[in-house]
Amino acid sequence: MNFFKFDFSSELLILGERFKKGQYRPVITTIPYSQITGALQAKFGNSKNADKSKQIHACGHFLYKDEDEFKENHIKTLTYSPRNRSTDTSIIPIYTEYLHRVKGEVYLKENEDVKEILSQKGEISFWMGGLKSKGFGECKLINKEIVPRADSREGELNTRLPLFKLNDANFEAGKEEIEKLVEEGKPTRFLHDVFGIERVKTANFGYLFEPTSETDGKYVLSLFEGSIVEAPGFLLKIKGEKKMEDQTEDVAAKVIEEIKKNVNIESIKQRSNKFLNTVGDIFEKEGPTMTRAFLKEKKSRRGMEQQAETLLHVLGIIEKYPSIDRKTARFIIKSLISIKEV
Amino acid sequence: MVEDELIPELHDIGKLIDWETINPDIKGHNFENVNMNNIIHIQEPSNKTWKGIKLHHKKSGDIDIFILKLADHIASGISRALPEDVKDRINRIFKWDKIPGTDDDKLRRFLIDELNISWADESSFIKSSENKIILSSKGKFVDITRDDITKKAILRIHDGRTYELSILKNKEDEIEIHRQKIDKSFQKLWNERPKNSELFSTKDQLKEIIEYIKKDNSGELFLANDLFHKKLLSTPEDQMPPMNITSLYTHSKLVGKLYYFFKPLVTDINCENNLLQFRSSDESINVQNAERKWDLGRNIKNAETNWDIKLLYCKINFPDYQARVRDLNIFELLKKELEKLSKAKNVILQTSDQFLAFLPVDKKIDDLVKPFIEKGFNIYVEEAITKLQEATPTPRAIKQRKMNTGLSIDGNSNFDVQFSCYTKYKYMEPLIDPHICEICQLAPASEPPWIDEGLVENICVSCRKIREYDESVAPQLKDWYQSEQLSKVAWIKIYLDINLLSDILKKLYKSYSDKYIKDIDLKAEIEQKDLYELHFSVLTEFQQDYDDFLIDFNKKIEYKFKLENIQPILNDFICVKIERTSQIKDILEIYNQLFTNYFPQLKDQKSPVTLSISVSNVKFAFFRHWKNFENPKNDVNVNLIGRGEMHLSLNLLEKLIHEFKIPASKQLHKLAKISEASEKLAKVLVYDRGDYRVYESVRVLSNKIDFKTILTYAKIMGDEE
Repeated sequence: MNFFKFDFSSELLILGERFKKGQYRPVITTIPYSQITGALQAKFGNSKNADKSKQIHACGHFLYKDEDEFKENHIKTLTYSPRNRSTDTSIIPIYTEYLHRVKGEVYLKENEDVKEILSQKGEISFWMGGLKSKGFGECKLINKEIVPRADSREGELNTRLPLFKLNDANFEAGKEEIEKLVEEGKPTRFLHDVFGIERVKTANFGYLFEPTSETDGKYVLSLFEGSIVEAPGFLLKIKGEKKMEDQTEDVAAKVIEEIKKNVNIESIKQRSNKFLNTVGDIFEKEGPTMTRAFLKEKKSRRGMEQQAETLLHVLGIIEKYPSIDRKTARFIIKSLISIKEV
Repeated sequence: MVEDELIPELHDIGKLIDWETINPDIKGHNFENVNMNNIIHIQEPSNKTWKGIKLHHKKSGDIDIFILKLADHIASGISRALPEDVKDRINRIFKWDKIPGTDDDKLRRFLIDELNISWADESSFIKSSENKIILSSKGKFVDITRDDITKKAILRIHDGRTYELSILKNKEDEIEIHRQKIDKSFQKLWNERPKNSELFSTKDQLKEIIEYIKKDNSGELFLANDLFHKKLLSTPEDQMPPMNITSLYTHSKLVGKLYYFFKPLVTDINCENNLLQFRSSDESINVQNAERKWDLGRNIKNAETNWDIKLLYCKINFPDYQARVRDLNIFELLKKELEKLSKAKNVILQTSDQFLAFLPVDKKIDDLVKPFIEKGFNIYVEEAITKLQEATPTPRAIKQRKMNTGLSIDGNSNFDVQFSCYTKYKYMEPLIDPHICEICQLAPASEPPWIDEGLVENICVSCRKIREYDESVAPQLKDWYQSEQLSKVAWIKIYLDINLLSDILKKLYKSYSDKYIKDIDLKAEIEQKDLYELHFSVLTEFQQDYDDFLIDFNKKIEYKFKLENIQPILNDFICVKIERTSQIKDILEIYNQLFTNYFPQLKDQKSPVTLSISVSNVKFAFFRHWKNFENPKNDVNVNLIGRGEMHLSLNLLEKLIHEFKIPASKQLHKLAKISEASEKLAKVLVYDRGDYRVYESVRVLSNKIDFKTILTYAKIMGDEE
């Protein structure tokens, strides 16, 4: 049993729960089977590959070091209001959470049909989730490698998987099978044969939507994240395991860290703030090019070489981050002496 | 009035009597060798309760007394598997004949550790006479003189200090020197202010007690009776430190519960091989054997080490998408079910969302949790099946113990602990046709949809019933929602983590015991067998204080904010309407003050009791607040929705409240604005020379408290008048 492993990314994504009180849609923080599989089947399910695309079984999760930081930095809220066309007025506002600049991993069960569909290498672009008409949902998959099914271990499920599939004789499940899962922890055929789940110790149940036609579908009993299972590692949230470096949004923090690490601030510590203020003001008003020119000129003056050199170095670091606006850059320059204390 | 049935709660009533004052010849609490006629000129009672009081430490052929004894063991504060001579060994300093000899080190340790005689290891002990031991070095001396008539020994030190010690003879007739008896006070592990017992010390009071026993009043009445209530609360179940950690009140109450739990299960006693058996009450028993001579001492141990029992930890959850005020009716349903649960004999401990319970091994949990499941809750369960003696205090602790030691208490054989965890749900349909309920998302939506305020919601039968349950469950909240839509509310949740409580109390108990258990061999023996494990009674003792703490907290919040601004939901969950976010400081101060009063010893470590506050506009979706309460990150957690969060320990909270000087609003605004773009940049501002003085308090605190917390607190206090 092998799986294709993909790196997943998206700038704006709405993987939502159902609307609450008709007004609020919270976002979920994993990539459920239904969403990713549905999206890939829609992408590859043209008439040529319609049957083959039904063999796509995928799931995934987002990468983050700290769940709370992920929620803070990558979940935003959008307020929008549908318009009543006849009166041309806004109807009650709707709040939807969305995921912003997220990265993750997606695993796709390998089989001959899927291999054929995914014969292209490189990036796969597709659309997933809600409000696609408003620009949400563009996703990218980059094929990384084929991973064999690793030994099962016990852990918390990190995705959402249906217990069975509709209209697929191989993966149907009757009441008995479901009861066995609940009472004895025995996984259904779908969970075992497709994703290699050996045992379900504690089930966290929910429902995932499976379309049965263009306009209809059913909610299928599913295992949600937080269930304790014995399964291959990629399905699990392993506590303490570092998934990736902080995808911090705080660009200023990155600039400051880099300055602290690479710049010899001591050389300007003894000097007055006047020079720093001047450089900061020039940067804000005239931009980096004029500032560079100013500093090069200062470099040629006796007693100013070291300071100017240091500030040129700082300027180089700031320029590496184009999202830093001039006002922020001015503040950083003016506060260089204090940066070391932070 | 109960007709001649054994009232288990009264079994230790004798511990409320100060026999030293009434009649020093009488020892113990079982009225042994007590002639009532001679002392108080009345006949002693003849009912079963009196029998239970007298015989629950003795051999008896009575099944009820056997059950009482069993319940007494299980309900003790700490393990009764401690060595029998533990009390003697705690107080014993040395054996007279072993000096000089094998007890030299023990005496030396006593002199150094407890009397500050640091030079005690410079010299050797000598016996100058049969009754005198001397230790001397360079002009300094200690001598111990024994007086067998007064049964006292006097310890003299060269600097003029003297101490009185006790002389006791052990079973082997050896002379032992003991520390003077310690005060018989009741000590709570989380609050080191000891409570001194108030015992009955006159013959008239003794007469009153005997007359009371004759009346066969119920256990509940006994515990609530004005005559006994306070005394029960201030008297320890076991007077000897470090066993004095449970009150007689808690112990008696728990014995009552356990007695009534065991009683229907023990329908027969099989005397074969002196083994006693639990029988399921479903089995029909034919008791023929009239000749029963039981060695009850051994048989209690047999019961504890051979009988299996199921211990359950349960957490009550509900699908957390309450959108409307009416959806909060679910808390009213929860309250009602919890009230019923508290009366169950097998439920030992409970909070607003967790409980600990016993079940016979052959019984499933379904009946116990059915009322909750039917109302739409789901129950997370941790279950351990183990021997009766091991079934304490929580399934998780039992599992941990097994992993640590892998041995049973007597070290003879492994015990088999079965540990499992699962969630009990209402029946889940494998397939649901659209629409699915928007609130619980676990059931099909029913017709017609719920239409309100122009919004259409699809909800299931169960969630609809909750919405329609009662108009007035949260009337204040409804008012604010409808008529004061711009008002701010603070949701306040206090949470007690039972599993963490058990761990923390165990640590506290070890520290407390170390003060009294000086005997190194005894300490090693206790540690090796992991006998520091606390029993339920300590947890239930804590719960009493916790419940009082909650009552006090609610009262003080009511006083501070006025009744019309409070919406109580549960005893540990309220909503407060606030004018300004700076009023949160008042809530924090009240909490801190009460916590320090009730649980001072918990302040120095991660607390099992946490406070979470979530603040927003009154119309903000409730379930978002509830999500903030799910996993408290620290002792104190405050979430200003959309503006920031703070999570900190109680010790740091005090520093924050009392030491933090809020910068002027202009600077505060500047700091807040910059922090929205970059927290790091905000930190730089705080250290910047330009505003160095302004942000001094921020700088000082940022060494101890994380910057985000300080900023959020600054935002909270930003609108202070």
